[in-house]
Amino acid sequence: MQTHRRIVIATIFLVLALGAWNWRPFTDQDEIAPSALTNRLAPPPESQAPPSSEPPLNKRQSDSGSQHKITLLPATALTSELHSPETNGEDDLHLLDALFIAFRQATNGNPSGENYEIVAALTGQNAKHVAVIPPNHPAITLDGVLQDRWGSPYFFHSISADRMEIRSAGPDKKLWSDDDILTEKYGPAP
Amino acid sequence: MKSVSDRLNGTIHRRDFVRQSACAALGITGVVNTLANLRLVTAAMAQNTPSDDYRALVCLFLNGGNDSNNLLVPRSGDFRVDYETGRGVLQIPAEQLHPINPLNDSRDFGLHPNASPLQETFNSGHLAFVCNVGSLAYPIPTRDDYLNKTVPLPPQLFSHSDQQTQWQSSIPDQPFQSGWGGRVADLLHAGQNPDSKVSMSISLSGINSFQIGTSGTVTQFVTTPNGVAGLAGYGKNYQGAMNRDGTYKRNDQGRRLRAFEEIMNLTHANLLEDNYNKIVQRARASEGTVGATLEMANNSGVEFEELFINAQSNLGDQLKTVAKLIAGRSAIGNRRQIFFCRVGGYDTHQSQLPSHANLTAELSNAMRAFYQTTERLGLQDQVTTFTCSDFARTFTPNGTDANAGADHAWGGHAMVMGGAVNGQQLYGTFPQLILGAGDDAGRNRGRWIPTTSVDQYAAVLARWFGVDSNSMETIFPNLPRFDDPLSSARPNLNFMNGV
Repeated sequence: MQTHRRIVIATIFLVLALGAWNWRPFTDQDEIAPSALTNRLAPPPESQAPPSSEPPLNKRQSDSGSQHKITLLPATALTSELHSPETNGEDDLHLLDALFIAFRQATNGNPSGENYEIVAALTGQNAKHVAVIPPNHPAITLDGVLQDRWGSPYFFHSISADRMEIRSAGPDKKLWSDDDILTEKYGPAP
Repeated sequence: MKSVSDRLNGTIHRRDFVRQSACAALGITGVVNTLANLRLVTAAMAQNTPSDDYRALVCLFLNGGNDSNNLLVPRSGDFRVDYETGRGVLQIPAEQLHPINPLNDSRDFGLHPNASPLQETFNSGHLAFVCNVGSLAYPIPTRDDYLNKTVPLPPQLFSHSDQQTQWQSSIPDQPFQSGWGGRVADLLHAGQNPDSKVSMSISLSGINSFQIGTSGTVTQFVTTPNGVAGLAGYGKNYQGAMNRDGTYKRNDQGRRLRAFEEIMNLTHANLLEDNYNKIVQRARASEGTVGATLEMANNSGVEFEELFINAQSNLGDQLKTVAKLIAGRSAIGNRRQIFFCRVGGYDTHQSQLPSHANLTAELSNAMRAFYQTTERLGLQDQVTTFTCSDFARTFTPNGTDANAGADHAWGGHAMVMGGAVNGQQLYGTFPQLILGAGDDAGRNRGRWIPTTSVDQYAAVLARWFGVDSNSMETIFPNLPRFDDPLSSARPNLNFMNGV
């Protein structure tokens, strides 16, 4: 009985410690080793984003010496599954959908704009300074664009503050073609 | 007071019986259906009601984000070069554009190849463009102010639902509570519409944010382009249940409708139940009057079908119905009326060129037909039509082949049409069509930062409609932010005559 109690207490302690680790503050100076996230990540996709003379907003803001501490939300743990060889493109979208839900719960609304602006928000450049994707996740290019497992930028269709349609161009890397993968169909386009 | 269930259980007192009988009698004689109202409406329309003091605002909401970059297009000059550079596969050849002659801008503009009806209306002085309008919380003086977030922005930019709501509320930085059309109606209804029989806010496209008021005194009345949406199961215009003299038919439908209306005419001790009945009664009353007005307009001698022969479309049907309701305005009893029309399909992420061509044809033909109908009614100076849309679309395409579309952007060009419009002019500021600089919010997609806010655009319309200067801040609480000459350029928004 005594042993059983000790096990329960130890388990609670472990859960609390894990929770505290997940909620620890993350700063721009911190490095998250990809191996710490997962050892099953797909190789980082080659950047397909158009070259830009301007640095991405999230990169630019990091460089400008933002003093805000970014808090990684527990949902970031999910990103270890993003582009995993054991999952597929549809799973990736479900996972991203879950990340958007976590982001909305934390910030009261979806991020909006182009891919790089949405990624900037998801990685901590938002009013609450919370992230649901680590800024150095391999699926994010140097230009701050989140790509699918085939190397094409995801297309984010902002429907409303709580509805975001996510589209992957699929294996043919062409958006709006038959092999596109979409999150939940939200009904007819507005 | 006894509950309705008590009464229905048979415990009816004499006083209750008398009251219910009276209500039931009202339910028969006052039953508000199209047929029963025809005589009333005929009499009202026959009166030579002076139309001098009638004004109507007609909102055309283009759902999804209109690509106004391809509606008002440079034809030659440096900005044509910028246009061709940025638009890529979405560019329209200069020779296909319909040239327009703005009185206040010497640059060479043309309208979309399918917008020749708008070209005629513009060049004849009854249509104007207000350039680069969009939702703003504060003026954004420079692109750096946007990029560095030094100016508060409307929340959820580039999101359909939020931008539609913000256009319709004109208070983008607050949670939605009311639309600016609804607030205008709240302000003007009692003073301007003492003989009102139908709501001052009529929608041809369902419930909308634009016409939601703050006080609840003016509620939207929704009708359809095909006529009034009545109770189901009684045939068109209740012909299955009612005789032409307004009495109920002696069949199941007649008895059922009679029973329904008698129930709806009962009074209730419970305020919620009582109010529910009143709402149903009011809706039925409006339904009857509007239905009869449309019926009478059809027989008024105005050739609505002929006038809209080139506008046989969803939007054309909506505007035709609006025209009929304007023709029958004396029966409706309002001197100030706000209409809301809406057409979808503008979210052209793919195959934009053909999709937008069809949408532009529909829009142009419907607007032209509507203007000509107001001319036929002699009311062109009293009816002003204006367009709104979620946002414009990115200047750059999202692909390189013929199936390319464009994505969500920000500021776009709106149109204002009517005899009271100081037409054939371009208002606001046409954006610099340069990617990654000037008006572009973001890297290089051509999402123009609006130089005119929805508040400024809407305020001119509201002013023409009768909102006095002292009440402008009640309707548009953010307007003073844009009136400061130190923080915003001269707005160039004198697009309504007499404002």
